[in-house]
Amino acid sequence: MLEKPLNRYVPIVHYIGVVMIGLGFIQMVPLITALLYREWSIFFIFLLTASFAILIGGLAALICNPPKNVRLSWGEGMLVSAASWVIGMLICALPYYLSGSYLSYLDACFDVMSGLTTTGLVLIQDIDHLSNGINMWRHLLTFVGGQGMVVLALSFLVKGTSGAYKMYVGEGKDERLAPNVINTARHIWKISLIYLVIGTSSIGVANLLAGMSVDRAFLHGIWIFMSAWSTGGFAPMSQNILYYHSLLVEVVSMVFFVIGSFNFALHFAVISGKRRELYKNIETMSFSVTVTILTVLTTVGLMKAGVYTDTMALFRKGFYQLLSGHTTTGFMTIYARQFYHEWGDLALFAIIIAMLIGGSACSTAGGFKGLRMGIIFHAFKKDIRKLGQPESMISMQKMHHIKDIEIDDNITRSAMLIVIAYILTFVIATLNGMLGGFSFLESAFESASVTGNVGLTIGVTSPAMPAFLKITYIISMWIARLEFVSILALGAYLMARARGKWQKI
Amino acid sequence: VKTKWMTGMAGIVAEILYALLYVLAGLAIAFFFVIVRR
Repeated sequence: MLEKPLNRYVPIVHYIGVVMIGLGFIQMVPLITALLYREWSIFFIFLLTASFAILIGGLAALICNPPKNVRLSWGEGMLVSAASWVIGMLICALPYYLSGSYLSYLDACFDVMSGLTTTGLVLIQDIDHLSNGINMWRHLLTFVGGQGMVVLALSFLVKGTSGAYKMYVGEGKDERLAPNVINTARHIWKISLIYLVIGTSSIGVANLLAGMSVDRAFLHGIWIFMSAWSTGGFAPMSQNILYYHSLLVEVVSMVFFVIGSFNFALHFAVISGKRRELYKNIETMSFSVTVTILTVLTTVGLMKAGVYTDTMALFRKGFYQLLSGHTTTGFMTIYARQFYHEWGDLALFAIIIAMLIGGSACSTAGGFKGLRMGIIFHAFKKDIRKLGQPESMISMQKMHHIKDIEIDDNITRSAMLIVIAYILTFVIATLNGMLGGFSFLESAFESASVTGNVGLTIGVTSPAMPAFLKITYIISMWIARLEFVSILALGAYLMARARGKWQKI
Repeated sequence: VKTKWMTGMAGIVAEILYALLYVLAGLAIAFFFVIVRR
């Protein structure tokens, strides 16, 4: 079946079309928001762009309708994921650009990629006076991106399971919560929607107590929750979380972004009754260790620098930024330039490391991930223990992640390769930052933020930064979010096409 | 179905309490260093 080269396009275009239909349908949410708040120009923009996405996606899916028994190869599944994110970015940037809130289409694309990858860096103009429709779109993009665009399409628009798992893996997730990948995707959405209700109510009440009107408190509640749960970092006001001046909002947001940075397999295990998994799991153990070490470093650094000398200031400014960076959220309770002018080298070093390590695998978070840190730590432990043992002795190292898993060389190798790929991306983005005229510290900080899909900023990201740096950051966010493999598959495919050959990747 | 629902809610409460532990740990570390410095 499907031996002719041209036929291989059919399932790829079909599935990308399905993802586009999904992106068209989710535009109904900001469209209804705009309708409720009588923002007519925004309403018509979403009507136009949603129809466009559904029409283009529908045509692609219908014209390229593959036969029922067609199976996607691994390369093709990953290619669908990688390409969907790029085409999705171009389509989702349309309402942004048409709203007039951006200086260029590139800036709009930057913000879409920042939202979908749950990074949270922004180039939007006059954020404090945005319409509710556009604000809903910004936060919805983060929410959908956190769960995964392809996961969304798999959950609601795909009937068969053929090739679905390959697309799911291509989006940087590889845990199965159920034997069937479509049920896995649905479980991910179910967990997120349950938390959406709890989180929106909690943050809404915190906003009410801070003195906001009822509809504004809950509207901000839903937006802040979407950002926190997706470890995104967008907020409806330019001062980010600092705007609320509320300890309660800060604590509640911390709770939800910490939970958001956990593995979906962990959520599923805990919700299914395996509550001990919370402190037995290698990822939560790794997270506890790194958070503790880096909090101590940040606190010592801030005290040495002479800023935030009392407990509450250290907690609300120092620890908040550190935890926000470590979970790759990007919420801020300080101004960007305070990092540069006040924090000092040690605290900045700690936060850069935190941003690079990131949250858990198969979560909404970015970075190396706690799972890989745990695997590498255990592999080191195993090698060091081996030195003191007879050569003939075989030593085994296990870790606990939902079940006991033996750490073999293959697991260690793949963990190391991904970490090396992250470091390379970080180095290249840092170099480009310096080429763009920023200092090493500024470039390294912002580069760690884009590579880890974090969103904390030291002040580099602005509409005035060079276009090549914006493109570098877009690419860094994209490849880091998809965890490299699907991007390599896309690269291999494009190279094969350039050579005029079609190979089944 | 009721048991499943209760188990799920207990799991969510456990996750929220566990996340709160991190928040309290951060506060404790900040408090500790301020006291040590004084």
